[in-house]
Amino acid sequence: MGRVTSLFAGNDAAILDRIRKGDEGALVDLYRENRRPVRALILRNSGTEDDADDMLQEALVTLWERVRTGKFRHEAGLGTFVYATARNIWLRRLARARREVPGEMTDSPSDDASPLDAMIEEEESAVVRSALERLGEPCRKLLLLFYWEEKSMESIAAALGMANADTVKSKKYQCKKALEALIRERMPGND
Amino acid sequence: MTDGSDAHFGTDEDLLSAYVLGRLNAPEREKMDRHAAGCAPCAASLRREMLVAAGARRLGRETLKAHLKKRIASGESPVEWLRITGVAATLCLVAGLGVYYLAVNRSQNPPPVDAAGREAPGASGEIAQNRQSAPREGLAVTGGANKVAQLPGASPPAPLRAQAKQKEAAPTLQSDRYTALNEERGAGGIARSEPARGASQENAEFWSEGTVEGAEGSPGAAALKKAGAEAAEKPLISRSDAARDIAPRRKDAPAIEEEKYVLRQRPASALPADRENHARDRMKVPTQIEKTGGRTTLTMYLDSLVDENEMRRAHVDAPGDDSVVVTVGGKKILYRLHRGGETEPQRK
Repeated sequence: MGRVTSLFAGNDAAILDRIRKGDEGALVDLYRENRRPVRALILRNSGTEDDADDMLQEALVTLWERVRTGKFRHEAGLGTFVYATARNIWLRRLARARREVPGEMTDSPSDDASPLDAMIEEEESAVVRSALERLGEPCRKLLLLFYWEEKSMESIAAALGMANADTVKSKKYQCKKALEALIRERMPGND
Repeated sequence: MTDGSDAHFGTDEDLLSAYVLGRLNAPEREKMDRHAAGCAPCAASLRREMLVAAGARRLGRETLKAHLKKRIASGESPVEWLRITGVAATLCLVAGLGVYYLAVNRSQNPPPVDAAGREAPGASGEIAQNRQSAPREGLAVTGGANKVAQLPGASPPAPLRAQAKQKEAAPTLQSDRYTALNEERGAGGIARSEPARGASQENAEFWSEGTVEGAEGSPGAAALKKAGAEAAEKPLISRSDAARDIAPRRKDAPAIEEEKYVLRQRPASALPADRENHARDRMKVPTQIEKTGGRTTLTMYLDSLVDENEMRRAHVDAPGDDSVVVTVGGKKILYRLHRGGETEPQRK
């Protein structure tokens, strides 16, 4: 049975526009529209309803990232993108958990890192994440805008009300130093 | 330094950031990799930069995901609120226009009075559903709509007979023949007060699968093509075109000249369980059709909702007695209305 694809590309454009403007409600709408097919996919492939919700949310966050960083290529409908992304993330998770992948999902996931490397990276990024939370609000915002949303120095200056790109650059350096100090408290060997 | 030509980049913030954000081309990247392989301080700087980027990305993703979960759990979104306020505003508008319409109509058409000067039963704007309480003999004037619904065996008094004749001879132009409601987005359309129809109107509720233009070999493809070619591309609410809008497209079907179409959309995920299997063909639009009191409501179940501006521009054409063509979102969708009992209406 084939998946229902979007009939109206115009709606996709409206959703993308809302994401670009930072409207998280757009993701809620996409969640509602795509819940049924993603749930069916995950349930057919060893997952639970909670897994399905998690995969869909991960896919939506990935969409958000791609759109906000200007890396999203609108080659297929948003529904197709969300479905395919949820599927790929689930494949990786299945592979990582060393579960048996049923016949329908035969594509091998591309996961370059070894399990040990992945585990170390996972733990380290968790430490940095925790340190970022303890960092003050201005620094956290600045670093998130720069590293996660990949905004330019000029955009960050405008968003945070700073004088210019040079001010942002200088502030970013200070924030990184403060963050590294917090990280060293948790990971003493990381100099 | 490994090859003597590469500079240390351990303190070059711009270069480190460009590396982790994937902004370098392949040769630049390889050059840094080569250098880092033989330069411990540069490799450590690069690793720190990668960790910061990974941590920021993780925090960003998890924060957004937490927001999303919260919104989903609470059933809230800005759109949800817009929808609620949109519906509330629409209801207020409908109620306001209804009261205004009643007031104007009443002042223009004072209710018939009996010999004692009392107002005739049903003359003060009773709606059609209350007609049963009206006397068996006589008239019920419905909803102040200048419509006379004649009860069995009754003959209208002369003034009202003349009024009814005048109405038949020169039907009032309704500027709101087509009404679009965007149920899911709240702000997609405008609803207006509507004159109640006579008791003879057929009420029905059934499902139909609209055929999207371009579905090769579909039974309605030819009719759709013809209707599509005839359908005029004009805004739904266009005052200047109102008169032309109302000009009956179905010259051979005067009984439905005043019929109104209400267009709604809902996500395919909201399809009732017994209709889900019908939603798998992308060239078909499962649609619930409700005909009530002269109004035909088409509720389209779409995989992807149509933008509210597109809904405003949507319009309905009726190329035949038993079919309509909905033009919305750049698509033309043909519906069979199963008028005249061609198909047994399917109850929900």
